[in-house]
Amino acid sequence: MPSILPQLIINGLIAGSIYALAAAGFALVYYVVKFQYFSHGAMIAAGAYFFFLFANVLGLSFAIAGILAIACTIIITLAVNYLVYLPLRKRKATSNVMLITSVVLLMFFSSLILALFGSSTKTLVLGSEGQIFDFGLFTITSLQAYIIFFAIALFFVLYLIMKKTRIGKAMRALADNKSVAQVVGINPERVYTYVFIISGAFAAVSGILVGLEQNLYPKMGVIIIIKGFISSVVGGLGSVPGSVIGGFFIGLIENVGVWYLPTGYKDLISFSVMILFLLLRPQGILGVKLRDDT
Amino acid sequence: MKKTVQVLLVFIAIILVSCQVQVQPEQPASRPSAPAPAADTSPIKIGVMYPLSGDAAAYGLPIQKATQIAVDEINAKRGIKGRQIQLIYEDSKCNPKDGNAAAQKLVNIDNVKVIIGGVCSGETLGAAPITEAGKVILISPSATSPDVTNAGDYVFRVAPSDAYAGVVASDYAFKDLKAKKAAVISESTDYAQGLRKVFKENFAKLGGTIVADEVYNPEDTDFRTQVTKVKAANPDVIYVLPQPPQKGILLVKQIKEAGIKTQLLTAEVLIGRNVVKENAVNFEGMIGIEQKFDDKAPKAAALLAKYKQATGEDAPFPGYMSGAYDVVYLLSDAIGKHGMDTEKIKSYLYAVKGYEGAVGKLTIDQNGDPIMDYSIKQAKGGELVTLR
Repeated sequence: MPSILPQLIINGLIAGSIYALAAAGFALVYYVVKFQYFSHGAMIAAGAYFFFLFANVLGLSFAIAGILAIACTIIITLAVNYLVYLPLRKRKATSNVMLITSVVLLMFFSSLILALFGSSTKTLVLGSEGQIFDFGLFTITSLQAYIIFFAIALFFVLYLIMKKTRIGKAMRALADNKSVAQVVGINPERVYTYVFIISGAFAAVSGILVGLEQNLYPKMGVIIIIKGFISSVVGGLGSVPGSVIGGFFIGLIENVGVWYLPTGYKDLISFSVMILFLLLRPQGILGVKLRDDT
Repeated sequence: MKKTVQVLLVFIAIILVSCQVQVQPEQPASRPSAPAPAADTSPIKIGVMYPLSGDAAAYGLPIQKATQIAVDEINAKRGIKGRQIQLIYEDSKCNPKDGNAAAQKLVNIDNVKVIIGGVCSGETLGAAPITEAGKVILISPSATSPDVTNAGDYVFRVAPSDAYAGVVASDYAFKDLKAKKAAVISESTDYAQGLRKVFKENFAKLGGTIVADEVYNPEDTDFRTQVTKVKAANPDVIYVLPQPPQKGILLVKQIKEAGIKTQLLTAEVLIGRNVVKENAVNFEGMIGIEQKFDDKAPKAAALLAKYKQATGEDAPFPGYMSGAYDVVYLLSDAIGKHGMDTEKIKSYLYAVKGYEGAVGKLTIDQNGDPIMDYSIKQAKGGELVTLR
């Protein structure tokens, strides 16, 4: 029997890229703004449906549809921040309240998409996604290669923003110690706006990629953010690079794990891994200590 | 550790809440308005439970249309002895839970004595305990799981049991395709699992080997691992068993993307005429098995023409749609003869023999199942060609 391991690893990388993209947006908000940002899943679904609207319904070219989808998703992300999260922050809402709000928003947007687009699965049609490259040991389609490429490129860009730019430094300063950051003249709300712009862009790109690869359905955001959350926990809550590593780790372990197990057990594997991490290494792979941040 | 527990609790809460995001019907079900005044001309209420939203609406809606066509025809000709037929629709969403809820509502709130549906096996099996307890007739145009055979005394259907379809598929794979090694990829629903079980048993009995047997969950969209395992097993034929067509389309796409050129074999759900047309490239050469159906027979041809006139598209699932059409006529004849006496309607249905319906010559056996033949079709250039 020819070994299927290389193909499983490739499958894991594809799934991992998607998880890591979802986890990165979630983790960035958690890292800087300090709350469990589950409505990121809703923004991913929004990105996918915006793209569907522009590319398939209105028939715009892929590049234009992509840019419009990213822009619209950023606008919605900012709108949610200003209309919901900002008033809550001003009222000094506890992290529990923020968490519940973000979960409720996730449900709200799933239902809204359901109401607007209907419950049936939508397919994004892309001209060249079907092109298959066969390397003998494994095959990969051009679209899947794009997914991995885009994910890695985006992580690199995010890394540069965080390390090299003023705003990135301000984000890290806020994440480290909000009071001190304010003392040195950083305006938290201004920085948070940038955080939501970046997370919105991430959401749109991951939504488009997921939509192209696995179709669109109203609950997609819920399913994706659960995996993104698991990735974040495993990689280390509060660590953006950790959540990216966690995403790839979960993608790989799910796909390689079913080499031995029936494929229906995929989710069982990732949930078990998360529980093991919570019990044995709650700080996650990158070892950022979980602390109470209320 | 306190934080750990908190994170876990939150997580459980999210999963629970996520289960609550329910699919809502895309179109409002027609409901009875005011209670009828006079007994003689009051409408005859018949419950209908079909998947009207979600991916399974791909067959639920066309079957609903065919049902409505039959009712409109009857109502235009004085209905049943001057009483109009009134359909009460419920969205049973192709799963046992919502099938059960739909039956509860129709039986206990609308007090119907006869229910047409469900379309899917799961929703039919979910509804059967309720209709059985209420001595309500449940007659499905298209549920094919072998389990429906023994679901109850008041449960009927006009689509053949997959106890036969699975045998026909495995016979064809082994004898005609000369396959010795078969792989099965199936969705974990009553319908697909019924076919999978029968196929596996019969293929092994014939002397073949099942080299891969992969199951996926209805909410899955990533089948790459299943496909990788199937590819590694190097089968001669792959039997593809989705529940709604959308999942099957995605699965076939991922099979083709993995570079698999093995002959694909599937069941009726994936060879809907529109599905074959829209996926001409990926579906090329795929063989599907469905109940035998003559679309040139007068009743069938008239129904299909009406459907095309009303919707502007070719009937996607002509066999099932004809079944739904016949069910309405059988029921209206039975109700016309016996009123709403479900014991007598039940006996009437068990006695159906050689009825000339749109679906063909219809005979119902002692289990409430029809006796029917199958035809084997192949997708070629976006069209279906009959092989046998």
